[in-house]
Amino acid sequence: MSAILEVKDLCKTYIVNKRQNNVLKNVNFSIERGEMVAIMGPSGSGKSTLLYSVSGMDRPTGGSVLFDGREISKLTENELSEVRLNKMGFIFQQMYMMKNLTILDNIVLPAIQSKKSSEKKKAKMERGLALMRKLGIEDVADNDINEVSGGQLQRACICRSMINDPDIIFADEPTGALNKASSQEVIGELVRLNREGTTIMMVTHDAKVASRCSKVFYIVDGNIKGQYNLGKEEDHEAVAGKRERDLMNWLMEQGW
Amino acid sequence: MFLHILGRDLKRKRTMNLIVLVFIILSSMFLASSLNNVVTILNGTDYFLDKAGVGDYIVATMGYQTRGCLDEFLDDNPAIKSYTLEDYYGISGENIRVNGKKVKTASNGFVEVPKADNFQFFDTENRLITEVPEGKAYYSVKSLKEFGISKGDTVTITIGETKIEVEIIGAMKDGLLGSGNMTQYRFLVNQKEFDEFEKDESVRDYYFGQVCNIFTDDVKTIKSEVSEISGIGFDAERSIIAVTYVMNMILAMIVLIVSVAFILVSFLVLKFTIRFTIQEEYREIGVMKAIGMSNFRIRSFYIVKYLGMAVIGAILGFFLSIPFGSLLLRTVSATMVLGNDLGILMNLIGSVLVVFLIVGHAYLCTSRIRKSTPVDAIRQGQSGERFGKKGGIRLGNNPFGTILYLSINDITSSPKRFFTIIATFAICSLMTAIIANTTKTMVSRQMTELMSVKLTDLYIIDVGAIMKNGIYDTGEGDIPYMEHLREELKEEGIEADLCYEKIYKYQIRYNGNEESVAVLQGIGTEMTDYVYLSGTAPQSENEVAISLHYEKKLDLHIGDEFVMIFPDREERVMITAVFQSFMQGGECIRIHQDVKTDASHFSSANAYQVDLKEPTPENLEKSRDVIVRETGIDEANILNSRDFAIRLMGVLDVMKSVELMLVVITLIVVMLITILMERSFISDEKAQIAMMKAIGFKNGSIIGWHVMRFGIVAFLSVLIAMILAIPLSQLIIAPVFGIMGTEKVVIETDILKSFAVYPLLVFAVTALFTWIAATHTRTIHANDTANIE
Repeated sequence: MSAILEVKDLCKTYIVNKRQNNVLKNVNFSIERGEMVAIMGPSGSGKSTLLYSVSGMDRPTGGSVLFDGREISKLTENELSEVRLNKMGFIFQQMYMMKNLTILDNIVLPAIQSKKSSEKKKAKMERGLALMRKLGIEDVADNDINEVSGGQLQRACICRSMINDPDIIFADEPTGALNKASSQEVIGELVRLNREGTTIMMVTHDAKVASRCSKVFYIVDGNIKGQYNLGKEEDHEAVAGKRERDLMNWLMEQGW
Repeated sequence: MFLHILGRDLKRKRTMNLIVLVFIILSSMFLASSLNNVVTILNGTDYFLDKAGVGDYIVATMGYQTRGCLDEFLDDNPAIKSYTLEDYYGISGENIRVNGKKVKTASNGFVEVPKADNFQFFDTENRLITEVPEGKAYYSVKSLKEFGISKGDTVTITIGETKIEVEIIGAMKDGLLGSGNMTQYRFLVNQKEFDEFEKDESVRDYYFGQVCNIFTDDVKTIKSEVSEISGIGFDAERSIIAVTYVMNMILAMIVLIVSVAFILVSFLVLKFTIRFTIQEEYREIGVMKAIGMSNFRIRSFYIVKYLGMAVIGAILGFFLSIPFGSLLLRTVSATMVLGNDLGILMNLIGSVLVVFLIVGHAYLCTSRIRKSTPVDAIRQGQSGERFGKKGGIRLGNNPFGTILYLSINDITSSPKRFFTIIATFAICSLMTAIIANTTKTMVSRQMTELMSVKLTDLYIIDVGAIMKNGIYDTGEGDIPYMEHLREELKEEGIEADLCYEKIYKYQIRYNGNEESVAVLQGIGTEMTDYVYLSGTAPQSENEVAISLHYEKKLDLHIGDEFVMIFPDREERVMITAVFQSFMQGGECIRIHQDVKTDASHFSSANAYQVDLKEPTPENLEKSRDVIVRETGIDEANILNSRDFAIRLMGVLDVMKSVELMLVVITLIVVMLITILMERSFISDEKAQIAMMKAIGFKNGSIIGWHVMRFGIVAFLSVLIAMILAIPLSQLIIAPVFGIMGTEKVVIETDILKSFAVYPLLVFAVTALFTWIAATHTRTIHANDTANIE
């Protein structure tokens, strides 16, 4: 396996009220292709900042981020947009969508905008519908975004993140705003995606969700304090409880 | 706690609150200044004439021999409440040198001394001129350009052997002679300079005159008595003086229309702002409902918030409305002192109205709080229940690009919101078109027809000849003058007819009443040379045509008869036609060319006219040379029909300035509204913009989306404006011309400006400033998805 994301000495500093706030302090890690990685840590530890910095959504203050061998911190705004559009997918906790578009239109929006393939618009729409079908939300394709449940909306966000067949999906607390049932549905979809080869990096507070990942980074005060390798989840029903317990024990050791 | 939440709200939503505040300031400024201007303009002429001390009836005599001719009439006349009498010296362009150079003018004027108890004069800052220092002079503001006079110039006035030299210390607004329609000008000098003329008997005999300013409640009797006095050079009731300002008032009415349009724009902007912001606050309203706050409490929170902003905005708008209102009126009030007795009270009323409108609108908008559940409010007022599929073109099958689709989709998804913006811009575009069409109409051939003259190729404004032939030669000099010119032109190989239009004052008797009326008579014309609205051209001496205004005023119609009283006879005449005219404020009758008239009732004339058989450019040029050679007048006083009408109306330059100023102001308003609305949209769509950036949309695409959206809105606005420009110009501007008795004016369309230049300007300003405002989206980053609520 080769690394899709290599992070070296990553720093991120904010100046708030003339005070320097070092949110990330020389963070180093790498993620292999096909991995599913969870970032965990207490509130304010820098999880989301890390996610945004490595995904090119935010500019690091120092260090380097190699995405697929390319230094993304040196890319221009437009080049970063191209990378985000064609090679990355994003899932937000807040489930942002264009409010004047239907669910299906929102899902296919990145595909229509992308020049990645010569695929016709109609084919893109069909692909969007197929994704919705796969995630069980085909019925709400023509609905407005305020006409569906939170779970359906988050699954729609997953569909949108997948529409351009990205190399990696970044997810910021994808289940944070969902109930238990919806969380399970959403995480199930992400695991399925990962099994199909998509690399996933997510921020979560939920050990149950994190236990389904192959690797967990625990971040404290802007540094990765520890890394826990869970390995690929083969049979969820059989190993779910054990993986979660093992992870919880490790997290306790980290000070969770 | 309540105030604490309010304080936090104002701080947290600083951008949007600031935008709302700016909108309120703009609305208050528009409404306050417009209300004041409406009152000012509606009272315009009367206010100015009152200030200028113009009485109810004005009589002017000419020649020293006429001195005292009014004495008998003025002494113990029960119809006269009071009067003042002042002396003047009449001059023409020939008598004047500016900085030693001859001036090009066809007009005549007066030299006078200001008197405290008579006509009042004002400087350009509207300060009363009480006296003129020795060696100095004020000059009529309306003629500054014509004479090329400016402050500091030395003017030499030479009459006969007497010469005075004065330095111009400023321009002066003059109630009696101040309108563009009054071709006369006036110099105000010190008594010492004036007395120089008084000493010279030869000057006194020919150039001396008196103006009597009469205050009366019985204008009709005065008018009747004055018509029996010989030696009267000019007489007019106040309403006629007021009518001479009609062109200024037409301009003022244009400002009034723009002001009313700004009032509409204010309402639309306020409606947009309040609805837009309260809609954005529904989520918070839902939260407050959810935690158990009462509807009253929630509503009062928003009402207090908007009341506070409305009061601050209205106060600032009130102060801004004073210079803004003056700016709007500045061009049209160049020759008048405009104002109203209410002063800034109207501005205050306008600003207070804005506060009521905002609070009232906020109250209505928050009424949904009572009906909606917390969940409805959180969902921004939508129930979330819809069982049908969303129709229309979809992103996947749209024939446009993504950006254009998003723009169109936004507009069709929120039609109410965008309708307000479209209506606002459409009103602004319409204003520019209406102003352009008014200017176009004012320079059209139609205006020459409304001057009640035959349409000919050239108009010779030879004031000296008009006065000499019309008055001193007992009216006999016109025909030889024209015959001479005709012969001279013929010698140069140019066949031409010459004609002339004279205005007399005669008494008429109708339905038991007597009235002094302006009577038009053409010399060298046929009755069929004129345009009539209805009926047939008079064919004999006992047939007349009557103006539309008079038809209504005197209740005399086609087929009716009345008696014309000439000095030597009375003639019963019948009305056969109705015409419309600007002459004499639209109050006149036209008599047959063969009717015998007399010089003692001659009132005025404007020009000798030349109608070429072959009006080729060469013949026209040659004719001008012949006329200059034979009459000695400046070529600038030989005009074509269009320029003749423009000269007579005397407001084209002002109209052009008004047009320019109003178009610029309208574009500034469009610019401000564009910037503020675009910033409102950015503020509202921050999360969407951040999300779009996160999923790979470039800055250019997002800016393009915003520019495209406003571009479509601007396009629709100018399209609506273009469709409505012609009918609305006619509907709005024709009644303005109607004030002068010409309500049947066909408003002409300035195709270039109405359908190309101004719409393109509105479109370009909207697109440019949307783009400038939209560059603010660059400050929203993909990582803002983590911070936006």
